[in-house]
Amino acid sequence: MAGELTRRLTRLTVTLLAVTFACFAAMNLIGDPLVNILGNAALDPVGYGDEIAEVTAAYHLDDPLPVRYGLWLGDAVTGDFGRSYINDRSVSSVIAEKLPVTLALVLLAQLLALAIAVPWGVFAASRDGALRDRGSTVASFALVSFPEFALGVVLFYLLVVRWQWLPSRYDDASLGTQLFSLLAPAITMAIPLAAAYQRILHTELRTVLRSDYIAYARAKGLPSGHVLVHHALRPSSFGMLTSFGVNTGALIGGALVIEQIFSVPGAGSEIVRAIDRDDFPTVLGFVVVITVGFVVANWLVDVMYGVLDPRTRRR
Amino acid sequence: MSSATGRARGLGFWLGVVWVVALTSLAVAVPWLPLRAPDDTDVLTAEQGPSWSHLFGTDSVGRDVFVRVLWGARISLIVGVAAILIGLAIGGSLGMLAGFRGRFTDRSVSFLFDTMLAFPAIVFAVLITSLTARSLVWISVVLGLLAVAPLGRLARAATLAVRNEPFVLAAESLGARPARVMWRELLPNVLVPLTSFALLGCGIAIVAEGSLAFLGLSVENSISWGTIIVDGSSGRTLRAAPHVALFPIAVLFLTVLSFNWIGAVLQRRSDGRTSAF
Repeated sequence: MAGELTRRLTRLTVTLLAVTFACFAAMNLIGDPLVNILGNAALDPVGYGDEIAEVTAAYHLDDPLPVRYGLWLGDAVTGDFGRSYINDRSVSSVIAEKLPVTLALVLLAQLLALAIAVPWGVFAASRDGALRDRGSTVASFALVSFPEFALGVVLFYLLVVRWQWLPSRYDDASLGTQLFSLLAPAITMAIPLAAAYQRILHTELRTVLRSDYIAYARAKGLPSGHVLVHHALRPSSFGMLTSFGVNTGALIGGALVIEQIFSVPGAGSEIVRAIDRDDFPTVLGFVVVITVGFVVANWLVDVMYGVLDPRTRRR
Repeated sequence: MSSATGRARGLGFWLGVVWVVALTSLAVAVPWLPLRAPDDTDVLTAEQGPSWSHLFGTDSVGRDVFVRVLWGARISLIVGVAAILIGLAIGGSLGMLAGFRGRFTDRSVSFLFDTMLAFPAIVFAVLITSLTARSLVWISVVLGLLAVAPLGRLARAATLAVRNEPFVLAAESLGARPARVMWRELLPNVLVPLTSFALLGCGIAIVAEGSLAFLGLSVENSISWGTIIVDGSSGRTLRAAPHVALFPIAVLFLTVLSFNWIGAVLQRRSDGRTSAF
């Protein structure tokens, strides 16, 4: 167990180094930090020599790329991602402000997806080969194929513009209004997710329901609903849980577009704004945090495995 | 899904093929069709619903949405196909090399793939497109790079599956050069699973272009499905003329669905073990 943990931590560290370095290098080689900070003043060295010298010193722009990356990394491990090029705010504080909104959105979407997927999957698997079985397969296929941003536009049109059931503006006056205003984007993210989870759960349930111990439970005379929920559901849920973990990272990425459509002021909107203004410390900070979250979520899934599935604990 | 494995391709498959073929031919032929120009504005007929003269209605400046969707199909299909071809070329060859050579090559290529997969895909696309010129070629390259890791992993797995089969070992022991073994013996076996997966990838790439359009990062100065949908999805346009966004969305959905369905059917036929559909 300890050896496995070390191996995973090494892998996590190396992955993060590679990702952050690639990002750092791309932003420095393709863009010019001096121009990003000073704007056009950087292109006119005669009038703005002092400012250029000042910025160059402050951001170590004369040092070679690996040195600058090292300096950035040294600060980053202590949670200091530098300051925004645009408004000089500390990137950590921007992340602390914006990321919780996105996390709330993603969590809400995940919970909605599970709340839909589990009953749906159980219902679909409850009768092998019946209409509900094959119908669910086709329906989930169609929903998974529906582009997320297009679903966002359709739901924005129906729920917000046409029927006006849900608010069009983000409101964080209280937790209730916050969750309520996140409901429309969360539903958008939850629908394809629920279809995907249902599909995985359905497939696994189908296999489990054919096993001997299920036949035994039924032969004992237990009602089929009881067998389904109490005997078959837990051993069938591992694929769905893996997918749950993997999707958390992907969802934060997908939130970029969904937040734009529903004008949610979360990490997605902030990244888009930062990229638009070449505010590269902010971008880098968010990318690191999201990537860490992505890898840690996968790690947590593996831990959950041990809790849920006693068979994997013995090793 | 045992009931489906034995079945023929089915109606859905052929409907999908017909849709993709019809759409592609229309997209190719649209400059020569007797239709309005896609940028022809007419304020007098703005925001009209669907009619025989404008099949999908007109947008807020009176452009014909149907014509724009056909022109948009050109960019969207080119991006989708080009991205996957790039992904196949790079990912496929790296993955095959990793599976074939093993040892250090395998470890470094696998690490590369893992790192690429650890990176949130859309963040990468946004990052690169915001830093470079947003030409058709660049957008395709960026989306193609995103396809490298998933396609590469599949190519590696497919290569490993046949790496030690007698026909490969026989070719090697007869003195065939590695390049020849990979090209003549391995490639045909890798290409089959890769093709069905690539079709799914086409759908994903087309959607990714649309997502980029929502962030203002799609191909500049051109009509794609993404930009058409963005044009139609402001709160004001949705209220006054929802058809401007909804028709292109329907076309996009049917196209992605077709690609996915064709891909899934081919996958099921090429590999009896996958139980996806």
